[in-house]
Amino acid sequence: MTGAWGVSKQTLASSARDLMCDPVDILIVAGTWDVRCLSMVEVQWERPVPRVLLVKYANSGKSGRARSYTELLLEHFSAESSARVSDISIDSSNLVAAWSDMKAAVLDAYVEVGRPIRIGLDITSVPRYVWLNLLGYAAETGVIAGFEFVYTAAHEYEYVDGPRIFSDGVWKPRAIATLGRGAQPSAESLLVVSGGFEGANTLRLVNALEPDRVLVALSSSQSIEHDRDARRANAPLAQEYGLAGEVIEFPLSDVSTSVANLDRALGALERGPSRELAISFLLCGSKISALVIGLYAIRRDIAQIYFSDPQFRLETTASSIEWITCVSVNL
Amino acid sequence: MTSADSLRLFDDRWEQDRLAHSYYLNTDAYSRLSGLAKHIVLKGHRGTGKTTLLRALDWRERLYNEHLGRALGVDPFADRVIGCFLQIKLLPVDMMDIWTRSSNDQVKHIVIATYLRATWLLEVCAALRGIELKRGLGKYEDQVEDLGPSARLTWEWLPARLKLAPGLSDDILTIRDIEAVARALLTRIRDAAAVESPLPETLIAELNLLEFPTIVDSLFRSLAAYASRLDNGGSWSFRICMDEGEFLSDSWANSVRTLIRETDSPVYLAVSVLHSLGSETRAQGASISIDDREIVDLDDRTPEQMITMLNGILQARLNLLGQGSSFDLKGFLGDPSVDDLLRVAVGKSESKTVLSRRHELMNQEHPVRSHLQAIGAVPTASVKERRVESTGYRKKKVAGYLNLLGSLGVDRPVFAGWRIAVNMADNSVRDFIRFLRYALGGWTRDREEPRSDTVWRFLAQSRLDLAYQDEALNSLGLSKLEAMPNTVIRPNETRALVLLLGEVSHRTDFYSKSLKQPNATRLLLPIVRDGLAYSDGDSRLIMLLEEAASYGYISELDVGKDRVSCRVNRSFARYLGFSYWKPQYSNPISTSALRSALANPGGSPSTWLREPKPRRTDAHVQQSFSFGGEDWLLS
Repeated sequence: MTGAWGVSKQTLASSARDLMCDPVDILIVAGTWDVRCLSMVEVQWERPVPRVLLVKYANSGKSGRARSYTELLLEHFSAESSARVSDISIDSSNLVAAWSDMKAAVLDAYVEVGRPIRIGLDITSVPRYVWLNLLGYAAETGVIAGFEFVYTAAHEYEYVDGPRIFSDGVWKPRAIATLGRGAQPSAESLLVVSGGFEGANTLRLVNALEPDRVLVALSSSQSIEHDRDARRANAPLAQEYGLAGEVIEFPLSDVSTSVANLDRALGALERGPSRELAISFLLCGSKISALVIGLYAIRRDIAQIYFSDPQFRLETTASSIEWITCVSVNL
Repeated sequence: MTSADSLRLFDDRWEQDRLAHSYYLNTDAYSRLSGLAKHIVLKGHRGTGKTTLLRALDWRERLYNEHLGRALGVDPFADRVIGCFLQIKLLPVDMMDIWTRSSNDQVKHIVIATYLRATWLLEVCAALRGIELKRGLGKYEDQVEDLGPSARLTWEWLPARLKLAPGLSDDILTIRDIEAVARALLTRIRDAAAVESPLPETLIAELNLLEFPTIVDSLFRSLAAYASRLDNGGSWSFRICMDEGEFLSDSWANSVRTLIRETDSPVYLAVSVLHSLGSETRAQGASISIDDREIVDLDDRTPEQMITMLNGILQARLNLLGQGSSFDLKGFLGDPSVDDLLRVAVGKSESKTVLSRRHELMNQEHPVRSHLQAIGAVPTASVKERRVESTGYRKKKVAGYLNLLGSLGVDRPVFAGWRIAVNMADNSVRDFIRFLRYALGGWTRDREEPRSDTVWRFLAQSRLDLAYQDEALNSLGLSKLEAMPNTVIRPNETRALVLLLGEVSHRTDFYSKSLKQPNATRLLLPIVRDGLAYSDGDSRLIMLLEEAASYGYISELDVGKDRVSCRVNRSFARYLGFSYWKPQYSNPISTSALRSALANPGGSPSTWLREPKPRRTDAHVQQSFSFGGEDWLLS
């Protein structure tokens, strides 16, 4: 670890037990219906983790997997004599309250440790809205010294609720409170859309936000099929906003390069005379793309980050794992 | 000029391209916006031109958009109005709502109103500096003189937490000082809201925000005095244009309404909304009224106003593209009579009834009038009366045309002509531009990309063939239906709703036995309030209707205490087959049809409207499944 501000290191492994992460003061994990949440029991830490915060979801799905995975996580971390395990319950339909509870738990840990803390966090399983707020809060307050963000990429998915989708019902844009400095509302609005597999919902949100300009960012993973599906899903958006192949690429296994690509693309934008450019983001893509945007946002003056909050989350799990990564961030 | 440039003539989102955007300002709405010393609520569904109107007041557009400059004349600020265009969606609405969620209404209002007032100050200062830079305004001494009356008040109020101080003395205040104060205030509020510390109540005390409105009033008066140097002493005002009111949360909308009551000369607000801004304010019992603000309703323009504006817009676009030649939509589209349209419809129909009556209908001088007389809808007129259209005939001729088509077994009308096209655009500039684009597509047979000369040849025709117009008007409805998944949240249900309401409109227009109540296309929905609230199902239906209205799928939505009514947007009139005329009578929709459509949105209108067999022959039950008390000739 270099101590420099920003992404200091990214480690990649094909299996969780081969992934070694830097020491943390508290590890935040969550029991979900996706088997990827169990990666956290195999990840190696340079020093024993002293505190574990286990997030339990109110909506545990139909299959019973979320409940059993939560119990497995609790069992594993309780068995480690050095770790003190506490938990919070989260209702994903009330994310504002979830963020409030998470902040209180992190502040408790900070008070206990007595210095800015390092947090290990499973971004695959903890709600994006919560950990992005935590990232913004960290950048604003100095309570948090850094993060070890762990992400497990799926090779294939298994859909419990039917078709190949992750959500149902109304998608609402919800601004991440701690990221985004707002903008003078006379500015020209640019919306950078991090696209995923649910293109129709994405296009609807973009149309509702009516930006002056649109840019699309898509992740490139090691799965050609995933990349092709995402491009296909977002083709109507590109067509409607006349984006002839202008896509910002986020190589998922390289967060630093993704942030640099974003920086370069936005730095090269033409700006009109005397009018500011208000850059906002819409998160409809992968969680690691959300991390890239979050890391960009804490370094730059951006207006808003909109998280697309679905009305219903459908039960989905990875049927096989592609890779796992740990991104070390210093603040 | 490239082909792409010429095609921009029919670009329905050209207004998004700020600097190259054309303007046509000779409209009543613009005159009221720039001329009235009053707050304005600008109402209209998407595509009616709200954003374009507000941008035409924006100081940046006035300074830098040459086309707007030309449209305004020699002096872009001749109306002594400095407009500031603000996008509500860029305000930190969610962030502030989360921070103030446990506070009372008064605290919420103080915080939100402070944020808005500081934003306005910052923007007005930017405007004055921008004008100064581009065309000169005043010297430093002038600023000191004009802003002097506010200097001491401002510096004495200035909270220590903002860490600002007067440069030389507290009698001197400059535009840069005001910007610094406004910016520091905004930053402090945003920082507090982001991390939810301190509490809003603490921040209000820390920044002494209760006194801020008095400071702002004084500052705006001083800034207006400085602005008056532009024409040596006239009375200047600032028009704060806040676009996209649909992004306001309940708390913010309440604050904006309260600010309409609290804000006075020289600051006037213009807020654009899809439906309504509402009327309640923070003060109990104090609603905003006509005395506080004027409503400019872009959903309510006459065909003559629309065609004049559309001609102006197209002419402005042609001028911007370097084509000075004059263009007249009335001449280009013509104004065929319903008899002319009937002959085209009869000419292309192959229904047996039409074949048997084609010769008769083609040779009758007034087949629609004859039909109306035959069914007793208008009296048989004398020869003298026939020379001029009687009032009764004028009111029923469109209904008579559609009813005659229905009786001939023709289930879709032929529509063409400027009057019909304008009525079908239903106040949407965007929809009319799309209609022209579809007409060009049909005329060029949808070749990949028409060249510039194709576009000019298209426009150079003395009259566009009725068949291309009809086809384009059909495409207008079809394309809107197809685009629903890209706009509304529940496209399947919205589509089903529009198809159901469209089918009921179609049946009433085409198959009514008599025309005692023509144009009964105002639809009454079976939504009733149980006490003070709607049922969950009805609340969801109202949300669906409001969203459909905002995107121009339905119109004239009226959610009243005792009834909910609407009509289908006329852009669907050709595709779904109903009148382009305004509704004259109402028609109830049955609960069973509505439920059936929403429960089975993939079905068809005929299945939703199929009457379930009543369990008993009860007159009351029978009545609930009929439409408008009419008899139906169901095909």
